[in-house]
Amino acid sequence: MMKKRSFYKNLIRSISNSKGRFFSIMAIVFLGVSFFAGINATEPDMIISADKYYKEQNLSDFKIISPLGFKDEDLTEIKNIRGVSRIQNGYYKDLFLTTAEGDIDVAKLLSYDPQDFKDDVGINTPFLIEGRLPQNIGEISLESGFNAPKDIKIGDKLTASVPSGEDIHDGLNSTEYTVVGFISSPLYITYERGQTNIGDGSVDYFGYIYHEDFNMKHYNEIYISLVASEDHQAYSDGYEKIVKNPEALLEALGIAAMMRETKTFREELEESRDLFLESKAKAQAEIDKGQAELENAEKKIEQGANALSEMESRYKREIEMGQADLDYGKSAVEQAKISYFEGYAAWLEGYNEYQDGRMDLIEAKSELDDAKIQIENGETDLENARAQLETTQATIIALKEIQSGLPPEDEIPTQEEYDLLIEEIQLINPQLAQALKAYSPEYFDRFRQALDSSIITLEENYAQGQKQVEEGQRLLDESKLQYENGLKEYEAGVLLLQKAKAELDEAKLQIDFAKDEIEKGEIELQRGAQELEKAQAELDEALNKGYAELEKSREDVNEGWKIFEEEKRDALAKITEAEIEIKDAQRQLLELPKEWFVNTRDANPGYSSYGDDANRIGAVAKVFPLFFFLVAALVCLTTMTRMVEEERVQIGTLKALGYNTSSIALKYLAYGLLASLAGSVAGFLLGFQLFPRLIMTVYGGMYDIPYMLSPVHLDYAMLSTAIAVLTTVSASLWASLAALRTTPAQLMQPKAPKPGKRILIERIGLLWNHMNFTQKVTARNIFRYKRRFFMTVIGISGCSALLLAGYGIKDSVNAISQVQFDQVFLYDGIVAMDTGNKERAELQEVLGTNPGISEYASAMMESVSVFKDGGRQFEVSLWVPEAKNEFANFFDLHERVSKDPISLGDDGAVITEKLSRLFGVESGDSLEFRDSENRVYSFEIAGIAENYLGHNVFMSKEYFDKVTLREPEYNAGVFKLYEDRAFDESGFKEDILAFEGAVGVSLASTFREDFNETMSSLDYVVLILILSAGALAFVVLYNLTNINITERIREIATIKVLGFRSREISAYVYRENLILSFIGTVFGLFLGSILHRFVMDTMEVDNMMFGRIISGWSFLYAVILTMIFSVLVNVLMFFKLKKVDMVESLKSIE
Amino acid sequence: MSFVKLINVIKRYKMGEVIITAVDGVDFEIEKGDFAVVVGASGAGKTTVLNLLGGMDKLDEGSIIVDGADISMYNDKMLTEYRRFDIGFVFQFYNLIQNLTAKENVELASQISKNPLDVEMVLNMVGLKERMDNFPSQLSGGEQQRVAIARALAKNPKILLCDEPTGALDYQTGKSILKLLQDTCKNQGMTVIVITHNAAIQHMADKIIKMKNGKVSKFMVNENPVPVEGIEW
Repeated sequence: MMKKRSFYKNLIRSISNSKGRFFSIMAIVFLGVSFFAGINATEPDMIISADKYYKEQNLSDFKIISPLGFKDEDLTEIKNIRGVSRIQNGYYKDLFLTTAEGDIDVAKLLSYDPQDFKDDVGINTPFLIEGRLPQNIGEISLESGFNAPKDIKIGDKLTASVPSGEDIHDGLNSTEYTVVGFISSPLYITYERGQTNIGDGSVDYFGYIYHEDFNMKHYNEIYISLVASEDHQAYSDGYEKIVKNPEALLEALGIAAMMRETKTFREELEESRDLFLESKAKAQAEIDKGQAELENAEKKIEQGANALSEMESRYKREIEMGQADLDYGKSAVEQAKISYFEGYAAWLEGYNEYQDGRMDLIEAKSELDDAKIQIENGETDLENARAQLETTQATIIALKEIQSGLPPEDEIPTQEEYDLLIEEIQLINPQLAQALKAYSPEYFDRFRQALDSSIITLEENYAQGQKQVEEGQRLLDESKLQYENGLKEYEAGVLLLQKAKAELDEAKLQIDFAKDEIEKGEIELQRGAQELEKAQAELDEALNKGYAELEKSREDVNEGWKIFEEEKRDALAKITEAEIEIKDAQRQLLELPKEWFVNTRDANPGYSSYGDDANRIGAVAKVFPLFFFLVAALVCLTTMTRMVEEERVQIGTLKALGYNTSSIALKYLAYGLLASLAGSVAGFLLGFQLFPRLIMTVYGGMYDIPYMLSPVHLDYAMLSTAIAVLTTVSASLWASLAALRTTPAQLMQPKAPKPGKRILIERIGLLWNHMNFTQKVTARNIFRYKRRFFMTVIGISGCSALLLAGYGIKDSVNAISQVQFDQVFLYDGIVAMDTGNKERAELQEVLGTNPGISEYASAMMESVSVFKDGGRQFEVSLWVPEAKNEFANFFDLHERVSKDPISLGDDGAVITEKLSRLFGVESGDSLEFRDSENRVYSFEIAGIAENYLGHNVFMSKEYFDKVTLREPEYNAGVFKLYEDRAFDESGFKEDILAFEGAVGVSLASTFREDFNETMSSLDYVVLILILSAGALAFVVLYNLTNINITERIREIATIKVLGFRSREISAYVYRENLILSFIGTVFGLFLGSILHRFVMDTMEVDNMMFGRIISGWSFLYAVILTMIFSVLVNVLMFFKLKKVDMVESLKSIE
Repeated sequence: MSFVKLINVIKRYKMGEVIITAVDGVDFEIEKGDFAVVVGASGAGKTTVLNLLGGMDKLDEGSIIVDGADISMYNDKMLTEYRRFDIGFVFQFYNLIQNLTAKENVELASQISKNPLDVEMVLNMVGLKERMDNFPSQLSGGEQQRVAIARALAKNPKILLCDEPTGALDYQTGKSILKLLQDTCKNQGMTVIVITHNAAIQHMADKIIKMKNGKVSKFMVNENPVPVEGIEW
């Protein structure tokens, strides 16, 4: 078979000539398959490992606890349930165990009866690690690892003790136990050991003692195995199904049994409660009656008082009205008086005017009389003047006669004549004569002259006199007229005066009348005032009397109240007493056990959280390996296509030589098959071992499961191999068939290089014209090879998404510890007090006097199990602070999103957020809790507070009382330390624990460290993610660059010949890588955010709530690391680039 | 002194155990502006001479002096600069960058040169002005080779080295390419060295170097070069 031989030869040569290519396909398939198969196998491996452990140790299907212990009839009834294969009864007791070194821990002791475990049929068989199980009284086998006391070894002795007030022999026979072995138990695979009612409320470790060491009347726990559980894997749906029926039956049995056990006591309690209810009602009725009577009397007094004050106000109003009338009268009189005086004044004025007028008239009369006399005198004078005037006239005439009788002028008279003349003149005018006598006749001229002048003078005088007389006459006439007028006026005035006088007299009469009236009014007013005064006095008297009477009846009623209050106090005391009794009875009724606690495996926190963790990994497994697979497929596809293209000529030649299509294609199929198959097998072989073991080891820190099984899962092996092989082979087939479809002639022709194409950004001239050629080539290449584009973007985005998810997980977890310890738990530590210890020190002493403690508060802290409708239970710390407002300094209860503070109210509890999510409850819904004494209570949710670690329920003491009808016993002190003071942890603890009754101190810092330590396993997760991301980036970029270089070797050689420097050449090749890496990274950041959210949602464990925010740093790290990976590949490729021989450019195209 | 001078150039290759002397003491001189043809059968060592002359390979003995500089003393970096600035290379298979247009391919070379020629002018010169925005795959072989020549010329090199420039072309196209080279030599004064196995081409050369078994079997100075139109093969 020459043909076949040459086929194999060709195949083997192909492989050995392209080892790099063959191994790169193998490697990527290996990576993809190992990741996919390994991570997918983890969930079943975890479950198989646990299931093996559970089956080996016969993990019970049910654990039932009866608060009152199991009677024989209970056991019979349980045995009769269909499907129960075996029951095993036992005892347990929680107590203190003290080591030789003096360390005290709370331990749960379980009974071990070797009879039960004969023939390997015992339920919950302890898994022996060292030594042996107890065979005798006084022997104990302790749990190993985890929580057991430090450095304890076989042969050590432990001393048992119970809280003060209890007797150890009330349940146990021995007080000292010798350690004979170390075990672990399928009942306790996690760190949780459950809660208890002693010490600080939580069990530190458990141990088995010989069953005869218990001296209890009844068994208090029963383990049950079902027939069918052997056939079903733990956690499987089938298992869940077989448990359902027996569970319902057991619950019904439990309710019936408890009903039976508590019936008598319940009835008694109810009777006594009813009795007290009755007496309470009676007392209350009496109080109500007395109160009603007194209130009635008070009402009457009120009525009297009202009538009185009504009367008072009525009379007062009347008096006021009288007074008002009086005042009105008074003011009227005053008004009258005023008008009287005004009238009088007017009259007086008139009278005065009249008198003045009269006097004026009298005066005018006298003046008139005077005028009359003057007129008369004037008339006489005038007569006289006229006479004189006539004389004068006569004189003048005489004189003129003389004159005319005088000698002529130039004649001088003789003396005689002269004398005569003078005598004549003497007769006429002596004076003149006298004067002329002086003259002598010689001087007659002068005489003549004198005479002339005298005549002239006299004529003048006469004329003047004449005038004067006329004037006088005229004046006189005037005066006469005046006088007559005056007289007329006077007479008229007299008439007027008389009239006025009459008017005045009339007025006077009126005034006098008014005066009389006023005087009469005043008398009346006085009388009215007197009457009013009298009325007021009478009213006052009557009122005083009324008020006095009222006051007296009031005093009477007050007296009545006093007596009533005394009586009431007594009655109330009786009521309170009755109420206490009622509450007591009711509390006892409430505390009466109503059912058995039927726990399926799900109620075991270790069992269920392990199952959940496995599920989570299963969910993650469905997502993470996808990237690898996608990339692996793309890488195979491109590699095989490339290989076929490179061997075109050979294919053509073979075809031309007459080989048929299938035998040529077979070579490539075989090549792909070999590479992928080899990669797959290596991948799942390693993957099935590596990933489940790695993850289980990480979880090993949290779970105590001695088996770690990692078998080969055929399904995942087949599935992953099938996908890998199919992808690769179909890629080869596709590529080779595409080549084989063309004719040999075409094949032997050099394949036309993929034509250059214009791309979109060339249209943007501004951008394109500013790019240089390597940039342009890069841009065109990116869009030219779409397959490479997608491979790189998917691969690189997967890389950065994994990185971002990895760092994001860390962020989310770190966020917990930061927010939890800095924003929610504000306290620095808790001290637990033993409330059973009567001599215990006060909290004030324990914490108040410690120099390191800045503040503290008292609270009740109890570990309880919270559940809803009998479903899954979660261990929760129940806090009841003594003083609500102080407590807020230690626990910051607030709503997560709004940061609104939540206060503890009287009608509901505040629960932490994760708890509300686990149950899907919100404010207003209700939940149930079971305390360490196995009492079950229901409570309502009033608020949901931000919290990340563990679960807490907070109640005000009022609400706690409402729920449990009990006063809380404050068994814990929360405290804060001075931040600036040096702190010696062990010294501090010693100081605190030295106080009587102080049983434990826990520090928040320890809690925080422990948490951070637990979470450090996440570092592995992050590391795995980073490594896988790196591998992914490497494979993708290596392939891309490799293809780029081989495919473009001619191009590179050419530009080398053209004289491009090494730096320019590498930039020419790498720019494409870097741009694609960048696009991939950006895309990967989106993808990573989604991945992170998904991982956080699925990975979240029950007792934690993770943050959901990725910090900016993580984004930066993801980007930087991706870039580092891509640069690393480029550096590696640089040498390959350098080796490209320029002579390649001279070769013909293949 | 001659523009290009090879003195006793020896180049050996190691093929596994065997040492092959590809070039065994080659001496010749070419003047500036010469059109030289190195002709010989396959395996005569002419490609090795081309590689050495083009600074793509190093010689073992002897020296090559180009424009007064001894490039046999150059290290890798200096050789890169030598190729970058002094040599224009025309390949048998054109070796254009597929993703760049004709013009861009020419610019690729002119971009790294010290005093490049104008790209459009060069393209015009090789007769491709109309097609300069086409991608190589849209051009015929002759057109592609013209782009390659334009690319070599645009760098404004000292020597134009052509490796079988007509090898992948048909007769007519090959002739037109040779004409272009000859015109370039005559019109631009460019020193052109063509390596070919086609003996017909030697008649158009100024200097003819015939090679055989790694040695120069005949060195001829052709006083009357025939125009391209006059030769036939």
